[in-house]
Amino acid sequence: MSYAKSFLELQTVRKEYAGRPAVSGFDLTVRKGEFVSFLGPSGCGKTTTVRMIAGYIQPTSGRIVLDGQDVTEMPPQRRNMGMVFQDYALFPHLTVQKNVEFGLRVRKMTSAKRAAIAKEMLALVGLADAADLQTSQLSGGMQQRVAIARALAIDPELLLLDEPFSALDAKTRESLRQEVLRIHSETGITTILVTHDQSEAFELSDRVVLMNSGEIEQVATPRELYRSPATQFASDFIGRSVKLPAMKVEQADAGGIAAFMTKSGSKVWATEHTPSEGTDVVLAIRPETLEIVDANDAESSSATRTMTNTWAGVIRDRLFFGPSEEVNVYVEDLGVELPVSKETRAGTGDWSKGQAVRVLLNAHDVLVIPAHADSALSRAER
Amino acid sequence: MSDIDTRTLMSVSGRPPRARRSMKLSLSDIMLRIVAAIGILFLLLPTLISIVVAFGPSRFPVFPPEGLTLKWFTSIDPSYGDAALTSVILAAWTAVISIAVGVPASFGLARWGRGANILQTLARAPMQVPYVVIGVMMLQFFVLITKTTGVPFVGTIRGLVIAHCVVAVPYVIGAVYPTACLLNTSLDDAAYGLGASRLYTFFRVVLPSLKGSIIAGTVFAFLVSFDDVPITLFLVGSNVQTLPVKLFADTEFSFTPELFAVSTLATVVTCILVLVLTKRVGTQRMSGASS
Repeated sequence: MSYAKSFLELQTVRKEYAGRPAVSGFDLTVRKGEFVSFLGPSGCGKTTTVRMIAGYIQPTSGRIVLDGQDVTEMPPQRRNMGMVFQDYALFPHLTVQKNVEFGLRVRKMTSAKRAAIAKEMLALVGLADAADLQTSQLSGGMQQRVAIARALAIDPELLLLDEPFSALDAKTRESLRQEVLRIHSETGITTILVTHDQSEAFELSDRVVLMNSGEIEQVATPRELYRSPATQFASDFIGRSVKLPAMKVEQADAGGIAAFMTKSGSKVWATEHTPSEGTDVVLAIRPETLEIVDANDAESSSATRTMTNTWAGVIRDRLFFGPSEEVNVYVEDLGVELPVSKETRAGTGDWSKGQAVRVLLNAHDVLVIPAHADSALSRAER
Repeated sequence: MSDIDTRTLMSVSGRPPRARRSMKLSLSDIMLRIVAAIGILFLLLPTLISIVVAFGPSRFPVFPPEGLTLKWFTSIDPSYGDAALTSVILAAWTAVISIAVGVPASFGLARWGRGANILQTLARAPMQVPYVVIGVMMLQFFVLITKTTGVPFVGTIRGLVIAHCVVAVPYVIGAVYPTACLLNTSLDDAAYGLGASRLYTFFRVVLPSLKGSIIAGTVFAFLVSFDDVPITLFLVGSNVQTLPVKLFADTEFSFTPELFAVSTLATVVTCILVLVLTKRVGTQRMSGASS
């Protein structure tokens, strides 16, 4: 990944409302053609940030640089960005085609040229036949496609999508996601998506900016974000995990595996990179990384001692979902119940309540999170 | 399969079929219909009677009429035509000016936020004041102005337009303000993002979206002016006479079916106007509401 070709840069951007920061210390570099998502719970400042990029909101401080040009003070009219809104924001008095042509009409383009571009854009979003319809005749998903076509028609520098799928039903949402992915790969337009839905962010983006309380928690590829959350908030917000407060007791060996002691006094092997001995950490365990075997099979299936954590446990209950099921195992040594996620396959369902099992966990799958780098809230407290 | 699903859903959540519903007309339904019919009849009866009487041959209004004739319509005095023309011109001016004032005001109120409530109450205040009081006030006001400036207002169209606008603007605001409040601000943002200036956005996005309620406001303003008597009564002069005031005055001297004939014509014209415009507004509203 080369960061040399920075296209959009946000430099310590801050926005205050009545003295309270809605967004602070926002630093981000986006490359040309990249698909970046702003992910976070509602009120985390993601929409505020994207509206600052579009020019609808003036930052209190900081700079926004687009393609080498400082656009911080520039009004939205001159920024040439294609914004797509949660509520579509189609002009109700105009037909689909006139909506798509709106930005071109503002640019005083001839009607033949406008029609040609509108036709191309509507074909791009798969609505070639809908040009003459009223927007009120379209379904939500189709309206949002028109909004995307309208935003792309002006050949924008950036495509900004502000919660574009939230108002749609699950099925439409899924198909529109695919559509957005296809449009992005066909046009190669630099895109920023605001969403509170992690699967949306993961599916679509090259990189995810995880936000909380107006600050960036982590900027990473979806895989990195899931596999190595940098903060406790990141591990809480992304996916599911069981948390175990622990302390490092043994430095990493040649294979990069260190030992940690949990509060309950049991040893956990994990791969880690930074903390020194005696450091407090939180170990996070994801359900899908765990494996259960019959108590008697343990010896045969466990790998080398340092590679795999092995705990004795008792099955508490089972939840069957269809494609997968979850087996809750109480592990005496750790003092917690571990949910073990298992795919439904032949021969995998023969677990019963109260059965004694062993839980296996590869040391590489234990997430090690610094105990104090938890959230923006505690950062503010310090 | 999906076809079956849709039908099942519709019969569960939708209305029961019409046929079954009309068969099972309960007593309370019948009572409701009778009461509604009486109410509508009560509201329409005076108008209907005056229309019927206009076709009667007798020199004095008789109901039911003893025959059928059009002679009262053919013998309408030309001065009624003048008065009607004055009324139409006056109402048209009132409508135009009230819209010019009321639409930007509604839009401003809708976007203002803080303090808009008080302003909105103030803007609607003239509706709360009895029209007779407004008439007297306007008379005094005009006399004072004329005294200081020398420009005559009483007994002129200009004076009447101003007075009518005082009561018509609140109607325009009443019609446009609620729609302006519903108007999505992301429409503005979308237009700005596509490069449109504020002015361009106002004329190409906001105004067209408000079209339905602007038409409604125009009808209101026109009608308020067209049939006003209490205010106009104080402000007409020997040169300027509106239709309702002339009818009102003539009733005292000659209570003939000719008056009913004029009223009938006025009623028919207004009904046509309202029907045509509300039909347009109806469709406009629907496409505007889906924003």
